[in-house]
Amino acid sequence: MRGRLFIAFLIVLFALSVRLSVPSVYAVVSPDFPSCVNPQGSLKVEYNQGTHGVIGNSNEFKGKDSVYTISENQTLQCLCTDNGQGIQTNWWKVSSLTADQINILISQGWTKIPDGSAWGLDSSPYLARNIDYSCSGSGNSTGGVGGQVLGASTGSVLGLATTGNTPFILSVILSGLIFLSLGAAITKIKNDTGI
Amino acid sequence: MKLASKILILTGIGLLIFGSYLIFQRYNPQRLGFNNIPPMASVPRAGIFPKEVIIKNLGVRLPVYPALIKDNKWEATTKGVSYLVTSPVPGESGNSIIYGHNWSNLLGKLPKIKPGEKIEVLLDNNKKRTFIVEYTSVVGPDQTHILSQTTDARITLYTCTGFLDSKRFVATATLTN
Repeated sequence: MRGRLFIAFLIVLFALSVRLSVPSVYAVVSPDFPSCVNPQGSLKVEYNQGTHGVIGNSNEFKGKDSVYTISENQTLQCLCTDNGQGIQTNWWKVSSLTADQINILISQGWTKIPDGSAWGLDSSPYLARNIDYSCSGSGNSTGGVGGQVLGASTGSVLGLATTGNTPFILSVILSGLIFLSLGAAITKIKNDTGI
Repeated sequence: MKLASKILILTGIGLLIFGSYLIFQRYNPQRLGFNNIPPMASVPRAGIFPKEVIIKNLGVRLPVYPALIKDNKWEATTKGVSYLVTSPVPGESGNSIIYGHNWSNLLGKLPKIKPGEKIEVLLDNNKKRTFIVEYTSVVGPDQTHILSQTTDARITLYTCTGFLDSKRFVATATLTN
């Protein structure tokens, strides 16, 4: 009995290790936004100095604010405060999404803005999401290319390089433990039952 | 039954030894052979190439190895950092891409870098290019926009970060005058 329980435990462990490599599936796929470290699209508006607001944050921020039009439904806001705090806001016009889809996205961390005109955008519903980054402060910044985008010389690339092997190491060690435990369990069952 | 248990135990021991070696490889700084940089002529090249990346504030000094993207797979060295040879030479106009593993002996300290800090790139003509970090950010592995070319002279240095290396830490630095 104990041997069977032990084997069942190992099967659960194996299932969990397999689960680690299975990506999540979402009902709605949000569009891909560029990062403010290398903004894309066309520069819509830029304020080198001033006080700015951030969606979902009641504080006021002083610094440089640049807004890029990525596509008809996507806008990128890059705020770099004077003290080097960067806040990227991804704006997504969602007039074509259903209420259920919007609710799913809200549960994934997006904030709904019923009317974008209050933020200088079109008079349509938007979803927004903030991402922190670090910058050198608006006074010192020379970065950003103001929306001047050249063709990437890297060709068609689906993803960045895999520069870490933690999952692989974990899976090797976990597999080793599972094999070792299975072998030990079989030996024990054999000894107990005399088969 | 007996044979099966022996095979399982031996396989398990083998995997544990292999896993231990991977951990050793990850944390052993002795593996870095600074004097054993292979010639870079084996890859398509023209002109000057980067030789070393130096980040004094982090105590990082790593050899640079040329790398390509083949069939959408990135070549990556375990002995230093990789320089994407299809991107501009650091210091030239455009976005030079340099990346490396997040091992403690490679770019494991990179997420500690702050805007305003210096990154130096030593070229194989022994000239040094100095860059100042403008931005740092954590992005997803599919956010290839960070690789896009720019009109300024910058380097984009990145490594893995986050739970199970699922994210990429990116530092963008522009050339100082």
